[in-house]
Amino acid sequence: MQVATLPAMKAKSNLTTNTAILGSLVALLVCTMFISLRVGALGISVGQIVNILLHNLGLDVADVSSRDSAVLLSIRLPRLVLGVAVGGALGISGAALQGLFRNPLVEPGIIGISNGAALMAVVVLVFGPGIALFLTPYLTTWLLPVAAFSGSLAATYIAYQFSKGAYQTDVTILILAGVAITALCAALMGIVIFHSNETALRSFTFWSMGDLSGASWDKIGFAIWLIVLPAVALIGQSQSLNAIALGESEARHLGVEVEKIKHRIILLSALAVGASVAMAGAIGFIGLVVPHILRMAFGPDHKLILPASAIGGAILLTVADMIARTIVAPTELPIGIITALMGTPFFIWMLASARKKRIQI
Amino acid sequence: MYQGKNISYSVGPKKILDQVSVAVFPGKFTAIVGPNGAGKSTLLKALCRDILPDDGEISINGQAMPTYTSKELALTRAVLPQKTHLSLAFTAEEVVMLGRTPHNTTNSQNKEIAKEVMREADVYHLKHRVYQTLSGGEQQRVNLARVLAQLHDQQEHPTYLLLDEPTSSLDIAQQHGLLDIVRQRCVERGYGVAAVIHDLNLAAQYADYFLFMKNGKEVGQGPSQLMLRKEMIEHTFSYPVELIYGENSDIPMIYTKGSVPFETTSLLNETINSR
Repeated sequence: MQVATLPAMKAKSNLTTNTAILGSLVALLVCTMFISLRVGALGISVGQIVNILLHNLGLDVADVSSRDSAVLLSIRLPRLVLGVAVGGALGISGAALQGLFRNPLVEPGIIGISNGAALMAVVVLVFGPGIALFLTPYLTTWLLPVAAFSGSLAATYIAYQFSKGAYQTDVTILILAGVAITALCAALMGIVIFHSNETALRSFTFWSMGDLSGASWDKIGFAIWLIVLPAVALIGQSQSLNAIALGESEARHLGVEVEKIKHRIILLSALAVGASVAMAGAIGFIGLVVPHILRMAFGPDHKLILPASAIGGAILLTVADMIARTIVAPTELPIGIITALMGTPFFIWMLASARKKRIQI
Repeated sequence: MYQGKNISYSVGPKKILDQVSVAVFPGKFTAIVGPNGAGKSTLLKALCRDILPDDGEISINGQAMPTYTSKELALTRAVLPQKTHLSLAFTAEEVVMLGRTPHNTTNSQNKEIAKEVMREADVYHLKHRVYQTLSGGEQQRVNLARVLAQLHDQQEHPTYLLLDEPTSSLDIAQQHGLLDIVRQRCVERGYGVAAVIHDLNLAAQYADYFLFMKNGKEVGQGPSQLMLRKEMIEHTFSYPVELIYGENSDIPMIYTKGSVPFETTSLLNETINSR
């Protein structure tokens, strides 16, 4: 099980190298973001992008075309912001949950977060037209994300209740309960799908493969904080997560309040990932793969790995989105297909090379 | 003083600890011995607050244990388990630095402390090695360095080190190497040490006090000279032993004949009990 977590032997982490690594990752993210803003049906140069952004901040450097400005500010930018937030949340939650569960195979979906959301989403998509009769049009647009968000929290809460013992939360039972709830949600989804029509089924299929295309400032304004704030709060748990790598009782002996940390990380991850899934659908592999790649490259210190996974997740999702909306233009592929296509072969290659390393050792 | 009074603990109907009391004194080494299933490790777990006993009181330096915060407790006692499985590939030095988790010292101070204790535990040359690639003995010495780093700062109150079968995966030289360091800290820095040890002869060479346990109960406790007696050992372990004393030593060598069939053991047990 630990094959995948063996990093380079010389992996050395101190404050200065950590800052340098995070700095370069941020630089890479900014580059990716600019490239992503550039590409699309309408080509906008980097210079124009800078001008438009400055113009919007009240600094007029050069004339900007109103068409370019509209495309950039109300279509590409909100989509990019949502992608960066969702990728970051998935990356950091994956890293934190892998550390907490002391298991490299964990991804945010494992404690029921994704399928809880998916079940509620399919319910809304199939029975939504009926429910919408009782709502104002404004509330109707919020129906899917709110339902998906509450579904993910409910599923996590149920899994968590099962694992709560007299003195401590049993992490193995939490994972098993998550698997059981995921399976139950899948079965219930099957029942709902059985009653659905073609259109609803198609919408659900696309939703379940991830979709950033609906992003508008209006829609992401509130959700973005629900994604970003818990994700940032996770960074504060890094020293405790390092101690938990020794084992739960060993961490307790070192003064870490393991139960509190568990509650906190599960809650923060459920919030960040739940809100992400609600806004962008179920996007797999980022939470699993990104932390592993970074650990193999830079060692396991959570002080570095947690923020780096957030930035890495954001980079990966931005690139995937760029591919998703250009490769079959003028239509676009669901982004989950791209992340899985990019993630799986890389992950398998990584496992194979880690095994080789272990044999040499 | 680290004190447990009348500690009881059951799992279902089975009483694992039945009114056990124990006292660990600063600057003294207390060995906890007894057959498998005697409740030694459970007693140690209760002492380090891994489990909450059903009954009884534990106090450290006169203050009840439940009033300690996790951090205060971590600044007062460290625990070295039999074996530590790491889920992530930290280097030996990073593992030792984890011992500094409860402290507010700076990173460079922690590095200095880690260097000092790693030299002492003879693992400084391994500092860049990944923990999982070390041998069992090396891993245990890295963890020893980790608990030494945890207790490194001089506190106003006495500090304690609890060890659960710390030497069971080590060879003879490493066993003595580890217990020598523990003993030295005990004498020089006044750590109170409580160790569950299986090997009676090993325990006899390092312990000032003994607690003999059997079936979740205390059989006897006190200074080594009083406790290391043929009757006490035979009764506790239900096995015949002989004690041999060296010429200039008051530490006995405990010697077993081996090949005693189990029927004989129970017969012997009966004869001891009927006395």
